Amino acid sequence: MNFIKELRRGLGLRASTVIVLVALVLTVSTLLTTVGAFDGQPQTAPSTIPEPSEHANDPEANLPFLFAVYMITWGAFFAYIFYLSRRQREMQGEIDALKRALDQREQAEAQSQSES
Amino acid sequence: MAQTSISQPVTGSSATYSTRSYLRDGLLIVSAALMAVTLYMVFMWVPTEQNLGVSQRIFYFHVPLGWIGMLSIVVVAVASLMHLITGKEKWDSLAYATAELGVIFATLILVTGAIWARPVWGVWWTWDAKLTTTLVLWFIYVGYLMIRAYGPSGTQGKRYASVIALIGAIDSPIIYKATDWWRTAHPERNVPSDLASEMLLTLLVAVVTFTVLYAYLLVERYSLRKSESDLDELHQRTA
Repeated sequence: MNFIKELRRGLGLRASTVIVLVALVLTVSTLLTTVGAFDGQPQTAPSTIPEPSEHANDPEANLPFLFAVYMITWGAFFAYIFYLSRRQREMQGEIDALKRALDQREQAEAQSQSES
Repeated sequence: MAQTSISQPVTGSSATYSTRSYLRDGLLIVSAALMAVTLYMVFMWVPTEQNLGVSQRIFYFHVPLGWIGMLSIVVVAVASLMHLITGKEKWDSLAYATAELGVIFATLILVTGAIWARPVWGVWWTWDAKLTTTLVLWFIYVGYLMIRAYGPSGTQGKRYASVIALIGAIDSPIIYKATDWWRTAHPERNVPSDLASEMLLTLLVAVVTFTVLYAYLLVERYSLRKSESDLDELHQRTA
C-alpha cells in the first residue's frame, strides 16, 4: 500500500490524467472489439478483403514482395546498428575530452594549492 | 560533497565494461552465424508453400518480428515495474533501451505484414483485430518514447513513462489472443498446426536467431544508454 501511496504522490494530477485517458482508450477499444466492432457484420456479408490476385497461384509471381520485405528488414537493422555505433563513438570522444578537461582542472587546482 | 577522482570510471568498473563487451561481441558472432543458417534454410532448404508461393517465405521473418515486438513490451513493463519499486537507474535504462528496440520491431511487423498482405489478401491494410491491436502496440511504444523526450525531466518523467509501459503491456496478450477472440483475416492459430516439419524447424531457427539478434541490439543500446548517463554526470561535474 505504501508503494501505491508513493506512486500517487509522485505522479501528480497531469500524469494521473494521462494514465486515466490511456486506460480509458484501451478499455473502450477492448469493449468495442468484444461487442463486435471488428466482426459485427453478419456472416453472409461480403468480405472487405478482396480475392487474391490472379497471379496468386504462380509461385514466382510475388518475388518482388519477398525481396522488399528482406531488404527493408535488413536495411532497418543495418541502419540502426550504424546509428548506434556512430553515436557510441561520438559519445566516447566527448567523454574522453571531458575527462581530459577535468584532469587538467584538477592538476591546476592541485598546483595552486601546493604553491599557496 | 567530495568529488570522485576522474581516474576512476564514472559508473561501474572496467571489469564490468569488458564483460559487457565480451557479451556484445559474442552475441554479434552468434547472431551472424545463426542468421546465415536461417537465410540458407529460408531460401535453399525449406519447400515452397503450394497456395501462397514464395511470398509465404515472408512468414519466417514476420512471425519472429511479431514475437520480439510482444516480448519487448513485456520486458519494458517488467523493467518499469522494477524501476518504480526500487528506483534504480539500471532498470529505467533497460526499459528505455527496450522501448526503442520495440518501436523498430513493431514498425517492421507492420511494414512486413502490409507487404505480405498485398499479394495474399489484395490489400495493404485492413482493420483486422490483430493488425489494429499491433498498431495500438506501436502507438504505446511511440507514446512511451515521446513522454521520455518531451515529458518532465528527472525522476517524474521516468515514473510517468513506467506507468504507461505497465498499462501498455496489457496489449501483448490481446494481440496474441486476437485470432481466438475475434474473426480476423489471420489464421486462427499463430503457428498453424498442420505446418510441415521443415517449415516448423525453419520457423523455430528464425525465432531463435531473431531473439539472439534482439539480445545483441539490447546490450548495444543499453551500453549507449550508460554512456549517455556517464556523459550527463561528467557535464554536471564540469559545470
